[in-house]
Amino acid sequence: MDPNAREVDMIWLTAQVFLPLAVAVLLLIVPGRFRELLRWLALFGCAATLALSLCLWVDYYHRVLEYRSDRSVSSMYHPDSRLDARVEHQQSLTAKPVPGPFLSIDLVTIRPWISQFDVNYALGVDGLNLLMVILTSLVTMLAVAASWKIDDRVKGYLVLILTLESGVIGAFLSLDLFLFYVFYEVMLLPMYFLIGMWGGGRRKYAALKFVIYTLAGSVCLLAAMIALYTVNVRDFVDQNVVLRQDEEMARRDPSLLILEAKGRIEVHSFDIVTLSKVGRAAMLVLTNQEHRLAVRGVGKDEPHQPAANGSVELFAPGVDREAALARLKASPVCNRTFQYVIFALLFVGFAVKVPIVPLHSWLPDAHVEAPTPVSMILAGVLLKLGGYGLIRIAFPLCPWAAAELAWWIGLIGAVGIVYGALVAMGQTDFKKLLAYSSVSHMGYVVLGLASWSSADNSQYWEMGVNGAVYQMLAHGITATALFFVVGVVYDRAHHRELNQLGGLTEPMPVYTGLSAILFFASMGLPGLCGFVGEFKVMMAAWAFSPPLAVTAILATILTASYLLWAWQRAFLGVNEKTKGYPDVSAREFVILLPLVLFAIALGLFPSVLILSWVEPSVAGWVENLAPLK
Amino acid sequence: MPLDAELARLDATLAHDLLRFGPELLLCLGIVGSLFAKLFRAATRVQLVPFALLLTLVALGLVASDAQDSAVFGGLLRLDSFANFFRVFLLLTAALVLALTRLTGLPDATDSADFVTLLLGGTLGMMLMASANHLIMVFLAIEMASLPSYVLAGFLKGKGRSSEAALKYVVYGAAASGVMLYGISLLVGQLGTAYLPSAAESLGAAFRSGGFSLSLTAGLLFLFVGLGFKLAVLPFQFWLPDVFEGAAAEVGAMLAVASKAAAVGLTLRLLFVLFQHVPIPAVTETVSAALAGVAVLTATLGNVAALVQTNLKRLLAYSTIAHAGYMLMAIACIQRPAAAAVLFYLAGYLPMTLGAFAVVAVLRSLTGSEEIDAARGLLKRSPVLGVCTAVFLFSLLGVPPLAGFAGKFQVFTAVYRTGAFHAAGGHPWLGTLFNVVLAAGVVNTVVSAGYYLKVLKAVALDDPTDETPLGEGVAVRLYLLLLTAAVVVVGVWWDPLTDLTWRAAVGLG
Amino acid sequence: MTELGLTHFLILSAFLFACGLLCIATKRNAVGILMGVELVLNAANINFVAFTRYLPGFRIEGQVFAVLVIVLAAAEAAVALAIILNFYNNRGTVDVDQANDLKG
Repeated sequence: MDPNAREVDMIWLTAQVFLPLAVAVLLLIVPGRFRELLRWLALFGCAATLALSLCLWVDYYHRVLEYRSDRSVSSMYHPDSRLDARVEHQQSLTAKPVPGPFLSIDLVTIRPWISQFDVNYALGVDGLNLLMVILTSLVTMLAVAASWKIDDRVKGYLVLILTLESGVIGAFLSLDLFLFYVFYEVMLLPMYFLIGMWGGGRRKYAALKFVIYTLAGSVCLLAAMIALYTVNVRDFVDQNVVLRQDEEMARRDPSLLILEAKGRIEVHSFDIVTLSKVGRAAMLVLTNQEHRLAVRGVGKDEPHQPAANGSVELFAPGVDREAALARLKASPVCNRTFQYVIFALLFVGFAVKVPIVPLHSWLPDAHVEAPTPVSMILAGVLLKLGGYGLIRIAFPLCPWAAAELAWWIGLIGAVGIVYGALVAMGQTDFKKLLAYSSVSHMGYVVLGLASWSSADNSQYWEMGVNGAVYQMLAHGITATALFFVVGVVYDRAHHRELNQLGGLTEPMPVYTGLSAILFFASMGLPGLCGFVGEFKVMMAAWAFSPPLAVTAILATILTASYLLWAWQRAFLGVNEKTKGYPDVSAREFVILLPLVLFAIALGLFPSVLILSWVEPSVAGWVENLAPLK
Repeated sequence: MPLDAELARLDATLAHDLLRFGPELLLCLGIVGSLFAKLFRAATRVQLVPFALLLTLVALGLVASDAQDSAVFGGLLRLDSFANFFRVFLLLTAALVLALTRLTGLPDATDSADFVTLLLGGTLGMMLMASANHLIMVFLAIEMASLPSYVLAGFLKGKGRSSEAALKYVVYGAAASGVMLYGISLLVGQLGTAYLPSAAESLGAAFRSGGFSLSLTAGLLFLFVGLGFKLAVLPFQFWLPDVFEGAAAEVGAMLAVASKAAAVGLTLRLLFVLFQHVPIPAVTETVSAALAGVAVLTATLGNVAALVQTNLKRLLAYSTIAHAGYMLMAIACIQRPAAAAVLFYLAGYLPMTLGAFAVVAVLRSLTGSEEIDAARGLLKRSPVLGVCTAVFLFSLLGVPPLAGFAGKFQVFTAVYRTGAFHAAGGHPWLGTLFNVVLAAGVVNTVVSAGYYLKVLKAVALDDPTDETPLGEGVAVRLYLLLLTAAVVVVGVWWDPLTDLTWRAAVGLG
Repeated sequence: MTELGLTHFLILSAFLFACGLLCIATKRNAVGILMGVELVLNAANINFVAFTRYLPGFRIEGQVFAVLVIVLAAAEAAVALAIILNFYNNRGTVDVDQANDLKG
């Protein structure tokens, strides 16, 4: 029997990514007139995806994090359980002459996809992306539940939402830059149609703007991806790959073998883990610390313990250190311009999605025009991809440029926080206000990531990154909920003008209560989910650069004021027009309640619920990068 | 050379050569057959397109089963993996265009004999272009491909615009091929031979003995003027939008896909064979740099001009100019991996461009209009057609995981690698140049979103002016779904095709 | 006066070529342009024949070239004249400046 057939986690991960798409295909077969059936099927599909992601979470928690803690190393933080280690192991298995046997419990799968361009179908789970996947499936399920009122072309609508979910989950789980890019782009198409076909009055303009901005960002990614792909990574991959490459060349073109001496073999890769090693090595060379570069040992008990002498083991086992170092120094990757350009391209590519000021102007238009459920997904999920891309790709792949530019990135984040809050204050359209508040909130993510203090107090940076991740989660919950809150009132008033609302407390008490909690959570009140992330980010920012921290802290006053003012205008007072509005329906209540509960629970028990299993991944991430400075 | 011995040698291999030339001979048979069909009264009312389709498919089968690599007919033609790639490509395009004309009813029964003759004749010429190994064959093949194309462009009877398109095409085309022939005459005189491999040796020798003479340079330049005209690259692109707008969309598809592919094949062959003995830096610093510049300008012009078009065929015409620009970016590298990238680009270009033209043809046959407004609300009027159009447009734009992206990715990667190769090889300015080319390609992609999305907006977002279902037949749907499936499959599953293109590119020169 | 050599023929053909190009560029009458094309083709033909005479290794190839070009020129002229006639039937003119329906 083929041992590879038993790699169960490959099936798990693939199902996690493609289940929504499969449901979408199923929906295509159902005739369009069975609207209710279509909706229930879609909801069921989303629920199954959520269930699957929770199973994956249990699997990750018990089999990856705890299983490894067999030695004296404290539980959950075992180096072997880190994503890098699991990917390395899987890669060495793949590189064997006869690949396998692959582990079914490491939640990493790597299979060749496009051999000519070394593209792999590589998926893997760690705390970071698992958190995002769970958030995605939750938000999408609630969005589908919130879509019951959409009557126009239901089938197409649901198919697009499910396709979008597949694209997002795929992007989160990809470990291969190319695969990531494909999923990242795949999301563009459904979003274009969802905004353009089911949106409000200026939907066509908003959809076009969304696509042009996102496309401009993603061609930057494409250029960076191509440049990174041409980097020679032969000293960073399993040496069996180099051997195989030799044979491959001989097979393709016998004449090449003569020309290509073995020392000139080049190995290229889209693998994020490998490319990140190259990036780190380049950083050491660029900061004149190349003596710290070392070859990874084979068969050691604790392969990833940071060595006492400060050496960083990046070269693959079996590599001649001196030759590898010479090759590395000669390659363009150790060129300052190259690093700056690539980082800038990656940063801009993700900044559009986050969105970071001044690339944000598509967001208010898209939010205002999109139907409520699409706004929920856009705010709750899509923006997170930008932040996730910065964490998973931009920073690890070009750490040197990121470190050099850290203060400026932090500044951009702080400016985003203040700018978003100030503009939000001037809005009278409820949705537009929330859109700008998203810009403001996502600024914290950028600031947290950027607070790269020196190696000695890396715990602050770790706090900042933890805060950034937590902020993404919190914003995912509150923004989703608040957009639904707007949707509820829009269904009754058919407009979103804050100045014409008001007096909702009396006719809609339950609704008022639930949305008050959400507003306070978004504001960052202690005890609710918004507080944890912002607080951690501010702590880290303080250690990094007090002026930026002060800016961020002062901006909370702005945040509080525009949210409170908006709440006051929408809910308080007396308004004849809103008197007759019915309170939330059962369906609306069922959608809002879990979000409210999460907003409270995540504020009260951040470490038990989330950080306990996300932190090991973040710690591993920081441990990779922090000692380089 | 003793003539008798040469003749005896040709005679000995004749049977074998004719056998390998079988697909082309089949096409000749089709041409002669359809010409004769006009003679018989009973046969004039028979629709000949299905027969031609069958013949093309048989020829396709013959080429696909041909895996040898040799020069035939005393070296006039070279039937290697590279030529075979194009023979398959061209026959496939011809078959798909023939099928399309059956669906849209372009030639009626009385016209079908003419149409078949011209289409098969053009395909034959293009196949010769891809396998030409001798400058006589190069010129003969180009004329063989061009003459039927001129007439096809004017095939819409009684339409003033169509005859105007044909007039413009023939006037410009004849001038370009005249210039090219003059260039060939200078070239063969200077090199002493028209057989490409020997000509390449002479060219190398001429270069080593102190550079190119004026007449040699002029000859090369005129030769590339003719190729540039067929490829429709700047500054020889002016004829293409007019011809495409005037000609029927089916003919436009043939010109956009097959004619362009054949020109790309011939250009690659000439570049790789002619310059193989000239030292690399000399070639890259002149030919490559010039081609790269032309490529950037062509792509930019095509994309910018397309932004303001309202006629679908004209818009697609500028889009094909832009795509020729992208392909030329990789051709300019003059490296094998880049050639493989171009071939892959073509393979993706076939279904998406043909599909886009097919949609226009279907729209014309059902609504009578070819303006963007005719496509308004297409998604509502015919969901299948609308979805297929969206896929073609996204693929043309280069969105993964579709064929257009696969091609574009490979082209861009080839360009970047060439830049890195030159930068490492001590030519930093060439490295910079190719990086600029890559940047231009990337920016162009964003610009092209402007007009592709304009069409997509009409198709998907705008409300139809006429709410009635379009009522296209099941066969039309199947045809378009087939092309859509091809676009997706080529975009997702690269491996078989990359193997093929790589082998074809290795066989080159 | 030296003996008549290859260069003289090349100069003649270059002159013809230039005349042909000028004719193509300036004539507004489609038939006139076609005549310019014929001049260019014949310029090339003079080259071929001259090379046949002066390059020993090119004896057969050059003649074949010349004969083929004559045939192709005839074919091209036939097709072009047919198209021009068709245009004339539609418009009543053969002035290429009148071919301006297609623009943009």
